[in-house]
Amino acid sequence: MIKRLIEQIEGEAILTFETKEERITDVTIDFPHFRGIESILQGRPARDALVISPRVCGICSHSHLMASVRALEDLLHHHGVHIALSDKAKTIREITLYCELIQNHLKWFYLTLAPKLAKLTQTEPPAYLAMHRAVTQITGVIATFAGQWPHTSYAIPGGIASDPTPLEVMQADTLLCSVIDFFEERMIQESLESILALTHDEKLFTLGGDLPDMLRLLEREGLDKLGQSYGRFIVLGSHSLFSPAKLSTEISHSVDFNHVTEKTTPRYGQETFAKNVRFNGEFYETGPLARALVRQEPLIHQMFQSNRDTISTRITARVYEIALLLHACRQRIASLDLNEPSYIEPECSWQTLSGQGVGIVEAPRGSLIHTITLEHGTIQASQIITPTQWNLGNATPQEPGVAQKAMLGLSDTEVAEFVFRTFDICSICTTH
Amino acid sequence: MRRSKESKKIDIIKTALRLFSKRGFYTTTIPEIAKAMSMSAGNFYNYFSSKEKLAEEIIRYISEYLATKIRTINESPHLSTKEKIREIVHIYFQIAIEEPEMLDFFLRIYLSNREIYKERCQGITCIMAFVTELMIFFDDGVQKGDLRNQNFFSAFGLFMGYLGGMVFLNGEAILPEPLESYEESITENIYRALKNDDQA
Amino acid sequence: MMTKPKVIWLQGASCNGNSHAFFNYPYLKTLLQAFDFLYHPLLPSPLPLASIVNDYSITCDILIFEGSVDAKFNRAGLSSDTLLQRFDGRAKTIIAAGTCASFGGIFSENDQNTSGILYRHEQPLNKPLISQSDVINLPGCPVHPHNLATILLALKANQPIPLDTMHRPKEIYAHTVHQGCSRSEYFEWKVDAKSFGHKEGCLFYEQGCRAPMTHGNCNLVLWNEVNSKPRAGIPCFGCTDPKFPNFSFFHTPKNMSIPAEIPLDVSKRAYLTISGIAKTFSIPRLKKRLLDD
Ligand code: SF4
Repeated sequence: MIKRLIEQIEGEAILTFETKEERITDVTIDFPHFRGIESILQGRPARDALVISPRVCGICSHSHLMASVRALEDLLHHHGVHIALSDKAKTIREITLYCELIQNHLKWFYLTLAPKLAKLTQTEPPAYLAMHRAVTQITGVIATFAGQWPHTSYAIPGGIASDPTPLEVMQADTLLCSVIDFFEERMIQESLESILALTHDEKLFTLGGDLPDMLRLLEREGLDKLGQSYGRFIVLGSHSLFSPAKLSTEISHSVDFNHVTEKTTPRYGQETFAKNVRFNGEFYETGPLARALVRQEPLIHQMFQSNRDTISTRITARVYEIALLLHACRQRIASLDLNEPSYIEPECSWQTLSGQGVGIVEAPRGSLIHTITLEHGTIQASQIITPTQWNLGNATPQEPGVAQKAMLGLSDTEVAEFVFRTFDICSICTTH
Repeated sequence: MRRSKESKKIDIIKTALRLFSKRGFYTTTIPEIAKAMSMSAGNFYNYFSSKEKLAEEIIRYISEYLATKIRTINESPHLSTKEKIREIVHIYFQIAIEEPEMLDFFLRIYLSNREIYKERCQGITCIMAFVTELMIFFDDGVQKGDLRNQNFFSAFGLFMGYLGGMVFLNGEAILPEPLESYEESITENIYRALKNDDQA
Repeated sequence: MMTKPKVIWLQGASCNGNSHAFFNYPYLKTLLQAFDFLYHPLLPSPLPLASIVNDYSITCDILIFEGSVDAKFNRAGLSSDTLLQRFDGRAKTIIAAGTCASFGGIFSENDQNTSGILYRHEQPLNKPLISQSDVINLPGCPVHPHNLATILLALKANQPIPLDTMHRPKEIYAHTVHQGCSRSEYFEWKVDAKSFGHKEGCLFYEQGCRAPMTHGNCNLVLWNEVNSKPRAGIPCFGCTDPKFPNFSFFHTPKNMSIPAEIPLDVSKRAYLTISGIAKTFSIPRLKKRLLDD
């Protein structure tokens, strides 16, 4: 039995490996960090969720805000209250959410992944300080619309709280352009448009930049084809770029949220706070790779065809998503009509509301679900299912979870840890 | 020197109040007020630059006067909310009886001739001291859970409109009984109208 | 040449929000060059966490502690109270980064025994966790990166840092969050925001802005260099306050139209007088939308 403490992720995780004849036969993933956000919400007025939920997680606080606001809007909708979001409010919510995904992916690549790979291969990792500047700029875009990042509560049922002016939007656009410059100069040395038009990884391998460098290094070290899991993918959130779909043998756009189940698989009598999540009884991978595949992005589709869901496909999908999101943000900023209202007050009395609502968003690591139950305006129950519960949930060696399966059969636990990191681990979200 | 100027001003205000209530605000002239004070009209203007200025100072004076009395009630922690209502009703009626010209001016001049005050006393500016004390009274009653939490002006109107109405009826000699004999029932009515029904 | 102070950043029960907020500090490179960071939860660090906490020969000048102290909550196999106490005296100064570390914060809602380093909300702990190191509280959910960075630099420069009675640097927390808000003119003239989503109007009267009752500098030192919550139409939730999060958010509790809570240390009588008068004046410039003709 080998235990490894995984640090420099969001929180920490403990991996316990069982090996036989130098192959990993089982791995348990433990997240020791339960904080009980769901019960903190109990007994509070409905809109307190918009302040408490973001505090589930510092790196994806805005995604939690969005899931909560959608849950409350869904609840109002079931109650017959008309929720009219202006296009402006919808678009700004999308922009800030996408920016949160971007900052996450940047940090993941340079802080979670690259240093570990450098250690593994005894090479120099790419410097992270240029990325740091890009992160301050992309969070600056969020703050322009949302007041601050992390932990904003600017999305409220009926719209957004802010009222950006044309010059502020201009300022956000400039920050965004600067992040695009960083991406084109450092991550993939090519224009965003050309990157998004790529159809084959052959071309990607000829380009400069930290991603192609990493892919070449992985290939040279013979690591690129590791980390394959079930090859089943799911997307549950609806956005301008993403819509609910699943892929096992083919893409299906009808996914019934009611088939999602959450439960703990007790192992070795030990309690873990991470509950795993399945769809129709099966494990699915969620996140950037799932999103790219159901969107049928040509480059990622081709890599999946050739290499399946190995780490090189998974890593590329996440970096590729940065390009996709940057491009989408610029388009959306240009399309804003600031004369529209930011907020249309829902006609309801928050003090008397009862019912249940579900809010689903695509967070950095995949589909995030908040369910809120109200009785006379007070939160009776809340349930949060995080993307990492899909990807990193624990199960048995016979039927392992997504990340577990990706690590089985490897011989080196250091390599297994690297494979684990490609899923972008957040122990904080997982246990909440 | 300052102090004597202030007290002289107050004397003028009191005299003016008496004359206004006897002869009417518009018909009473500044020379008449000066004469009643045994001073020259020219000297009067050292104290008040115009009749409008005098009217403004009078209403501020009345407001402060009422405020000081209610403030004493507000700052009596041993009084219950209902007892405070009784005290406020009491002092209001007492003023109506002992210094009728004061409430007379308030009800008949200030409230009915708003054009005089348009320039000088926007909204409730000049009676703020008095309104503030009632705010403090209401706020305290709600905090204690005695009074229902509602719109301030709905409660203020109910309370002061009621008292003003009674003083008016009394002034017109319509009330069959002396004003103070209604204190208890009026207190009860105001309390019932404002009280918090969810109270344990 | 001055030696670089050694810094270790550890976490209790936390959302990592303070670490991520800190990462927004624009001059991170300069800061990292001025100090010797032995451990930071996000940044590549020279030593693994297990050595940091178990090797008693490792000392530091400054320990930054993020998150609330919860005996049930482990890091590197040690409960967070044990972890923290291992640095009592081993670190010259301990900085409580954020409201959780300062006062218990959000995660103390679930458990009576979860606290900050010195306080649980406003109450000093019965059994102090730290007695030998100096503690500086930097509340905020999360802590503002500039505040943390400047305090680090002041410590390095051996500058005196006057603290208030709750161990907060006066220079940062003597203000209320209200100070510097772009809506302050609306506060002065009692013009309330007609609804969410407007640049105009103050959020104190209807939307529940707690800035005038909260110590902090969010409107003076802007977030992400560009904005603050109240400026962007989001009421201040009082996240730097020892009592955070004990409030119902997004609306102003009122007694007969009178705000139940009024600006810090202002008597209700004074407040009501001034605001009643200010409200009477209708100022066309403040009544219309800013960008309308
Ligand atoms: S919105 Fe809040 S911070 Fe801004 S002026 Fe009003 S009370 Fe002060």
